[in-house]
Amino acid sequence: MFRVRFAAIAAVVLLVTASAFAITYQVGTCRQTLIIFPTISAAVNGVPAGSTIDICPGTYLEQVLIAKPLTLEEVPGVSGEVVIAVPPSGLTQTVNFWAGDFACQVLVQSAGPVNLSNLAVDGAGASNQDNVAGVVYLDSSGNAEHLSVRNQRGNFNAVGLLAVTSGPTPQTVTIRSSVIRGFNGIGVWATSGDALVTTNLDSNTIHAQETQLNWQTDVWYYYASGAIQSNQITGALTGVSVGYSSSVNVTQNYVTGLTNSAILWPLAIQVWQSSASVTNNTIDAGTALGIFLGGLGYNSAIQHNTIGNSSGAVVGCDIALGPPPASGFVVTSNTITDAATGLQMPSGNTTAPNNYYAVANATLPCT
Amino acid sequence: MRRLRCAALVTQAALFTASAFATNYAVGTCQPNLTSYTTISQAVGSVPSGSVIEVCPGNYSEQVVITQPLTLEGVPGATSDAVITVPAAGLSQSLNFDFIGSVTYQLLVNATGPVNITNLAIDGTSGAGRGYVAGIVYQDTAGTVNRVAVHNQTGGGLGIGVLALTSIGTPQTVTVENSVVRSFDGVGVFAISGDGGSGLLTANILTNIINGSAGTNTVGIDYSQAGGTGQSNLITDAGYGVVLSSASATVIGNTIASTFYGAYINAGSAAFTSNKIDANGFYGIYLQGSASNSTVQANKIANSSTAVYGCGMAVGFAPPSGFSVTANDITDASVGLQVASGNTTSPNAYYVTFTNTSTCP
Repeated sequence: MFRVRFAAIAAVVLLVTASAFAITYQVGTCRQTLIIFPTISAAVNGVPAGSTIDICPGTYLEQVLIAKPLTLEEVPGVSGEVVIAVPPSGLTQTVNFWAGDFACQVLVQSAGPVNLSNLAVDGAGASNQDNVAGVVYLDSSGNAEHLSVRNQRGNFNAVGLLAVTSGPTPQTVTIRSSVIRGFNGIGVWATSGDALVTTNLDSNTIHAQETQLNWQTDVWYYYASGAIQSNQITGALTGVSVGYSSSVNVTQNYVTGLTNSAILWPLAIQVWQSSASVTNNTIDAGTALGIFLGGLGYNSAIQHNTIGNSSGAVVGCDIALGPPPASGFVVTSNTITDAATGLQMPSGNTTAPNNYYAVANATLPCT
Repeated sequence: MRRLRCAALVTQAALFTASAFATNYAVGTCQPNLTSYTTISQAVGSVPSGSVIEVCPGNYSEQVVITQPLTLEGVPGATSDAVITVPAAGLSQSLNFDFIGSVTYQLLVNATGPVNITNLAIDGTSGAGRGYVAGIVYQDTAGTVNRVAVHNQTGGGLGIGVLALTSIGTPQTVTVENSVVRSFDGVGVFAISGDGGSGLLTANILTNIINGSAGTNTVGIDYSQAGGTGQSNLITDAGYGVVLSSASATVIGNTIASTFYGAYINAGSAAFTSNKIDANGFYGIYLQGSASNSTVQANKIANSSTAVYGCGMAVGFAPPSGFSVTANDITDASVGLQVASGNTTSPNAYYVTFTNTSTCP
């Protein structure tokens, strides 16, 4: 009996402790019953680790640095949106990784899990800066859900959402049910330093600002892993690019609206020097390339995709200034309709069977 | 026992008869074991009803009229495509319907029984004429269009990829599936229950890729007074992704991107359900007219100016009524929902939306 009582008391203490850590704080004055902060930055700095910060609808002209585990979300059940916007003085907070310095609006750095929900991050007004990012997870894990990350446009490069590692600890970032749009560089960029960053994209709408930089990419995994699933991807030169990555699953996405380019080849999905599976995607290639493969494929499976309206549905030949010819890919059970060329692959890959309909040339050798 | 034997003999005879009707013929010279014709028109006018006509790869510059049940298909497993193109003299034959007016066509199906078209390309380059120009027309005929590429039907905004139409009082079912319809400047797939009365045409439009980038005011799929199911299509780069005009169709599980109006629903008793719309900063779903309980449910609408709008137009169009707009997920909109009274408009879920709901002015 004594043991049972002790266990019960311990459980109560644990619940109280957990409850203390889970106190909800508020930014703004839309509700009156909580501890209130005037800005998001003040709240993030002022609350204990593990807190939830509810933000009242409004526009917040600030750069936000999060260096502890917490949840940042709009006050539930209110009308109106929370917008983190560019301060009048521009973006001075930067993050440095192998690609250089990026001015960022929301930086999650070296924190435990940080969850963001129901927030807008609007980069309008920062277009005079070279490299810009909306949300950056640096050496941090967390979930981002129901975000609108938009209008990141830099002089040289702009990224909607960046997940990156520079330290020795692997991280996992999941982005779900969000809209990433209006960028003129990369929509979602996952790239690892010393430790692997696993980034999962699920049910997002990713739409580049069309007719901008020639090399716009909606999703770019470079030395990364994770699942890219059920997303609606459109408006860029490249829809999904997977390079030097492992264990990337690209499945059940819809890829459309490739941007025309005078100097580069638009393409829906490319995989090079990676182990990946690209399965059950539906591609309207807009008379450009459907799936481009290069380098070593490590038995990457390109299977059960539906590719329509392409100049080349699946291509893996050597191109100038591109990766070496594809080898080690398994390209089977795809359905290719309305293509100038269905499949053009070098030897060293498994390329049959596939289904071809209304295709001018079902298969061609590399030249 | 005698009855059983008799039944077996009758069954065998029926099978033999069906087999005899399904004799294959060819167009072109790639099938030396089949009776061959030099043009598609010769073949469809000569073979017995119920035949299968296999078309060898190549370009066929002709207008084709099919008046009997048959199957027309590209040779299975061929390494290149069979393309019906516009004759050098242009498209000379046309039809006139009270419902939409003159329609010039490349391939007309007006037959007494089902006609199936598979694995062909219909290229309308240089086919512009007076009124509408259509790649494929099903007039008062049932059948299936499967794995076909239809493209380049243009002409003053009146190009149609596939037109299925009833003009008399007989119900018909047409299925368009697994096909690519693109580069039209009017409507991708147009289903009209026309002069014979509404609801006579059942159009099943399934798993197609439809791209309306050749015009500024194009429509991906248009159901006009028609029923059927529009499901799992990918529709992009159109003025209107889906139009439902006095329709009874069920439009479900489609993906729509880069449109000015993801869907335009005018009256009718349609169901628009579980579709995904990237509205590209414009309207997600636009409602109009007096509906008979049309439902707009469980859709995911992202990146819109107004996700669901229905306030009527300034001149001549009353606000919508009789719609049920519920269980939709709206993300990243300036206005989530702005719909007149007389409709059911909750619950819906709103995320990062500037104004969740707004009343009509």
